[in-house]
Amino acid sequence: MLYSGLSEAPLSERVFDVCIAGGGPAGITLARRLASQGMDVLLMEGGGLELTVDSQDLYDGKNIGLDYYEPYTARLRYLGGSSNHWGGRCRELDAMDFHSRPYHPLSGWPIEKAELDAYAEEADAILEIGPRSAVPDTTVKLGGETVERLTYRHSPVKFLDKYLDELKAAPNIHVVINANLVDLELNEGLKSVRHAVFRSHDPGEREYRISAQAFCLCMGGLENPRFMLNANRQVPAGIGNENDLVGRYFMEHPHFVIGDILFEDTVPETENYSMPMDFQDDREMLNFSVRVVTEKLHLLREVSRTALCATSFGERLARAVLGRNIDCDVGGTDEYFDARAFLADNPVGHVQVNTEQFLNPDSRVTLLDETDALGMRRIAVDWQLADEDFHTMRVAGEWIGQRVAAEGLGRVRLRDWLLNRDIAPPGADEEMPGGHHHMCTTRMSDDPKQGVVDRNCQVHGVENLFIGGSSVFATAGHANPTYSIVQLALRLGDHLGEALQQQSMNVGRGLSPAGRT
Amino acid sequence: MHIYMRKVDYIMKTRRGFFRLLLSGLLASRFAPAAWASPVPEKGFHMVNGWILTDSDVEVLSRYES
Repeated sequence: MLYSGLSEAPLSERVFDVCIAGGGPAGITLARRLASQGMDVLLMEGGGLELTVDSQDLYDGKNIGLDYYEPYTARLRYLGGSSNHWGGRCRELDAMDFHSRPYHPLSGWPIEKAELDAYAEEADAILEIGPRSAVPDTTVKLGGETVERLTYRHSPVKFLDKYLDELKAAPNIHVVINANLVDLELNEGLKSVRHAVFRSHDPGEREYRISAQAFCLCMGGLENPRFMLNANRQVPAGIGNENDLVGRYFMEHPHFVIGDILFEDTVPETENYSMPMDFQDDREMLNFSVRVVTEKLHLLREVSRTALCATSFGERLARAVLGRNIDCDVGGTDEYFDARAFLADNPVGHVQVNTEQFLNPDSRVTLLDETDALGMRRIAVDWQLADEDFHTMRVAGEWIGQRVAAEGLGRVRLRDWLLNRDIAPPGADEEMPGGHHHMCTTRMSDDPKQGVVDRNCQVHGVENLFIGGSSVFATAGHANPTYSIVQLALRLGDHLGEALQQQSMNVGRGLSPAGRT
Repeated sequence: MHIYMRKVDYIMKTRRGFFRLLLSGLLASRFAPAAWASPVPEKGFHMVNGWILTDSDVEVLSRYES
């Protein structure tokens, strides 16, 4: 069932099994999984069914670290979340990502990859991608060395388009849009959530206090920590933040172009390469892939760009806000025809890296003093790269440069900023510094001093509060995160379903009931 | 400027073939081989002005430089 506002939904005098805040891939997947087990699920989405200024403005904030994407453009705040504009690239985390590595302190997950692999078939179906076995990674010889050639699957799924009708028809999923989570009320011992407090965008409308057996935050890798830090009425440091970990270890997948290639004769197809764990261990590298990209001119793209650049400012702004940036200073059909003939004789390309990021507590999400329309302090994103990140990108660049030269494909020149740390890496206005992937800000660890949630995604110290999404990643590998987000949401759904069923049979075990109020 | 257009722009301005283009970058400033050739970890490769080159590349460049 779908309700367009809090006042329309049957929320009073009711205790839901699970209340989920956030209707993106994690929240929708979790809601469907719980509903399939007979749970009574409340799915609260802060935005509506399309992009609105009022909703999107709540994502505004500042970058106070490296030059990064504006917080309000890096994600979408309406039902379906950022899947409404994602690229659809899917890849599972590697087994090595779950292992602890001595040169990467705190690395390793408390669970094994196999625990997520168990959900691969269902994740494939949700994302409408074929089985991994149909497109396996392969090994190839490149410059005399055996290297891994990586493959990706591509999902066409926008969660809003795919699941809206199903959610409307589901008898035990109550979807409320324009419902913004503004607080959690803990019980007297501060060990469980009693109510979640929601508000609409209408400043005159009252607050709604929701009762549920369990509460799940599925608002994204930036918004989950932002909310928890804001929820400081009973716990001054913020809920779940007793050890000052909420918002720390914010990481991206650095996507920098680290080098340029001059090809000799044969221009290869664009490929993604990597090396196995022992290679990385020997060099104390973080997990990585490099993409050898052949620069090709696309007539259709340039015709499209020319047409778009002739449209109104409003149309271009809408596309920009939706993440489809268009640069009208370059390209276009004129430059295409000028450049095409010359490129045919002088083929060029570039090397783009895609790496795991080092677990750096100083790379973090914090709060500004400025508040949004709901009275919540806005986000400050302090994205930082560590020496280990530069080391990984440099070694990856040297390695692929050697392979390309040894293979006789051409020669690679590494970018100046990679060779000279006095030069800042390019910012978001120049290139893609990251993949719009926000991870590890409420990371998973069995040790409360090393992570915000435990292996079951439960917030340490709060019995019935759980987190879904990439903020719980313990480390992030180099794989695009949505596939793992879906796997984790399915796993969390099974854990919660089992725990709630056990609780109903044996009160006192499992979760603590919030109770009716 | 978009990355590929930037490189196209560079190539358009230099209008040279592969090796001459490589040389134009390497020889942008005058330097002694001992100073500009630094090894990268794998034997048989060198880094010169950021370019990752083979032994034979460096040998050719040395002749060019002299």
